[in-house]
Amino acid sequence: MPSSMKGSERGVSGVRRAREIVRLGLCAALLFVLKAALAPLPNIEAVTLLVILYTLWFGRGALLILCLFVTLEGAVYGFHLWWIAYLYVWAVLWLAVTLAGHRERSTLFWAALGGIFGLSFGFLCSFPYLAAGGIHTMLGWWAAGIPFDLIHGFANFALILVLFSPLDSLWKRVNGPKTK
Amino acid sequence: MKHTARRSGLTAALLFIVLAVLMLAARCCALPAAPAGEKRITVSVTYADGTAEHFEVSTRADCLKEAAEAVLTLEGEETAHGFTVYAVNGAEADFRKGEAYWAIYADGAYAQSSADRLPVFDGGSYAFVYERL
Repeated sequence: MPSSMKGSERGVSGVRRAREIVRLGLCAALLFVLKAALAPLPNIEAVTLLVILYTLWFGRGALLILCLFVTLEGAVYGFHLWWIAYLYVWAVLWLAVTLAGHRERSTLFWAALGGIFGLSFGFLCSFPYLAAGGIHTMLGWWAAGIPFDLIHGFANFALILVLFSPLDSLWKRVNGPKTK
Repeated sequence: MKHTARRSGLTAALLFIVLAVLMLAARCCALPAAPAGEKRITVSVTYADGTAEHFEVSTRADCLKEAAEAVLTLEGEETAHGFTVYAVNGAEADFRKGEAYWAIYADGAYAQSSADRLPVFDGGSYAFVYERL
């Protein structure tokens, strides 16, 4: 193969990679900004919806978005006990979506998955309190937050039910069916 | 394929509803509601220097915060975990500053809820204790 073709191929590959990096960075920024914008509404967030979509669209690339997002959250709000939970809780959602996404799923399925994740959020985040104060501290912390988990679950369900299809369709129209 | 997708969606939605109901039941069992009517409780405060104050309170309040505010001045803020106390009667123990916090005890045991979510029962003893981190 002539070296000039190899060079141009490298150029195209480099542009594509740069475009991918910028896109992932923008996606992480969008996650952060949307979370901050909805912060006045307790436990109502668009992060779950976007993490589901990013996982379906980018696959493992979504993990990079999550790394950026979690780092931003820690840098802005402080690296406290809740941040330890953030290190793994979104990865759990990514894993669930990755496993479920091997088959065609309906919008209702993704809404229910997001709802279940919202309901489980408090429990998943309570594990650092197990290390900090033992099982009673962990269970007490979780039980006290159940009303917020219920809001979180139903809010996720409603948001995903309404917005999943339009956003996914828009993405496919702009980028084609698969971008992983 | 579409039929399978729809069926998995309905199954997931059902699972979501069942989990929500179970969590509601768990919440009701874990944190029983305070009984209605007049209750006599003891509220104590132990300060940083070890001095303590004790108050006998007759209250119709459902939660400790409301009952304790009859005899104490509580300063703090609403957080996702309930009302977090930063000062009692002007004595500050703000955990955000990394030195100490106001621990809440109910009948001698470490409370599992914030002051505004802790139900009070007749004959109960509740304490705000200055504790170092």
